[in-house]
Amino acid sequence: MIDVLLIVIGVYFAIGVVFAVVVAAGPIKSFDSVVADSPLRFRFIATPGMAALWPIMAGKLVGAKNTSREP
Amino acid sequence: MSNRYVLVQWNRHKKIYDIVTLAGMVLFLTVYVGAGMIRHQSPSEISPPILLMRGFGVLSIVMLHIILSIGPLARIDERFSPLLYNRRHLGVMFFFAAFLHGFLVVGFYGGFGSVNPLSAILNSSGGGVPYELLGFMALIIFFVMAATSHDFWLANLGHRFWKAMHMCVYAAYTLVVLHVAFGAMQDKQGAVTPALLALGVVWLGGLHITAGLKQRKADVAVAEADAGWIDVCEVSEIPTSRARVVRQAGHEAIAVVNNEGTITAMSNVCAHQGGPLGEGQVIDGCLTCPWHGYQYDPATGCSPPPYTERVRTYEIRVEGGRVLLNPEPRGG
Amino acid sequence: MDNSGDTIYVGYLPVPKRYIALLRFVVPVLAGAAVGLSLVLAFTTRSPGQAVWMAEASAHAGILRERPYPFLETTDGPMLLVEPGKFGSINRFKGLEGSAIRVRGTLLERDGWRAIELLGHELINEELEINSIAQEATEVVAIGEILDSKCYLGAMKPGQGRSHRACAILCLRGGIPPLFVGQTAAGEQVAGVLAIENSDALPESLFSLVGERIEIRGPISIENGLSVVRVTEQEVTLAD
Repeated sequence: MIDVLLIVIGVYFAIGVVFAVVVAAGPIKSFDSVVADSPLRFRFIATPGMAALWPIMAGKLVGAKNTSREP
Repeated sequence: MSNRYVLVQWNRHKKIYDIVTLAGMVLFLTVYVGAGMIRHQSPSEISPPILLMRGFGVLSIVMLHIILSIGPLARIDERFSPLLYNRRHLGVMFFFAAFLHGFLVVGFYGGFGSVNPLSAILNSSGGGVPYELLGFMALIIFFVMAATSHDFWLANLGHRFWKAMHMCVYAAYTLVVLHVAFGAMQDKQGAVTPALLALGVVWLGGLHITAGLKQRKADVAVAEADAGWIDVCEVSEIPTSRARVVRQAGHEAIAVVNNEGTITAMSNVCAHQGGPLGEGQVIDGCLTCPWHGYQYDPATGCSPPPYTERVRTYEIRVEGGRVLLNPEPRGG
Repeated sequence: MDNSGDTIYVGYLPVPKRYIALLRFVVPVLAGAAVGLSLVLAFTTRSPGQAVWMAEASAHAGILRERPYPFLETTDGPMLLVEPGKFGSINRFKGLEGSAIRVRGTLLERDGWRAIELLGHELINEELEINSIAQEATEVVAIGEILDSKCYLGAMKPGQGRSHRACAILCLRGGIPPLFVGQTAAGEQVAGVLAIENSDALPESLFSLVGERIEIRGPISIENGLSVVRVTEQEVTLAD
């Protein structure tokens, strides 16, 4: 039972880490315009949170893309 | 205050705060480990990794109590607010202490065996209370909180969601208390640990209740049934450069501000972290949040340029020395 | 802004005097309280008991006994044999019952109990004369704790109790001999390797009782110098 929980948590964070690294490398700018003007070090500090909350951030990313495509 | 994100918006206060905190942590650990080595010496010494994991455990629970005391203390006496200013750094440092406690437990008790260390620790409860799992769950909550403590997260999650997420600290605190009560406390003889743990719970409970009662006394509470204009108080009851908070069930709390005799009203909720604007002060013509110093023009609810924060404003009428407030925000 | 009057604290502005006064009082008091607390906690911890894990390796010759768990019968008394890490030595010594061997390793010792963390072993061609004590079984009812012998004899201090439970279970799962230490209602000390009927290691069903206060009932005897408590799974229960 607990091993299943550990696997779920492990998979969740593994996906999160990949997501966070990819997003921090570029797409993070689309979350908010302020990021573009911020030093790279800032992106480093944002990655653990993105690994933890990746479903929310992925949702925002998709939302941001959809709105930016609208004329 | 949101022109660009930096790692940390350093200023002198934050530096002093962090240095004092770190020095305190090192002092605590050194004294604990040193005293432990003096108390029990070879051949009945405590293994150094165990002494260290206990040290980090005790350090983190002490830090957690300090962190949770700061909020209500600042409400009871605003002179505590400098401690609140940089509380997020304290939280992150606390997380590292708690993490090291868990890391040592998993590595030392869970390592060197036939199953993976984390599984070995979390699967060991048998029929009893799984106190290891409780600690692990608390640590996950603390991790998410520490990882999202930067202003980037406030801006992107919205302060309501952010605040709600960070209120999980009380759930995590409960988990930590149970973690100790069903874990380490069972190994100790005597009443010292149970007494200290109970003292911590009573202290925090008492502090939060006292702060709540004080706030209720200072604020103007209005029943929801009173539609239309609200009779807040006499003009003279709002000190110059200060505000009074109006709370109406089902509505956002409103700060009624006295700016050099001009009475205006705006949301009591700071756009940054949801801080209580009404407990702030008018500085340089702007109502300044007591938490992190975010500022708003009392007339427009806007932060001075180049900042872009904005809170809702409300209509005020002064009739016969009494302040009347329209609880519907301007512009719908 | 001036620094007097009732100005509130704002992080990026100079700190008003009344705040500084409070901080100058609160921070040292907090530091003092923290030091006091860590002293109280450090000094009220229980002693883990006297146990020694030798830093230097030594060699010991004797007769290998496979049951109930591998141990070396020597002229100095029995020595439990364990591997590095949290593993027993059942596999290493399979089929060597009664052989004369010499083992090399680091010695763990507590209350007259000994174990060796093995670095290696060799068979030797010697006639060993060992007159170990043997004692007929006597029935015993005692309350105490199931421990993993390696940690308890000095690998971890303390190597017992609730906090150590996960580690003890891991050790026992790996085949480290389980030890029962407790006392009878009359206050008589009881210590013996815990042998479970029809099982060559502590069965999973008993893991939940490790590190808890338990009661056992069964015969205790001395076999080839080693004190052994023989019970069935049902004879180990939580003490009330």
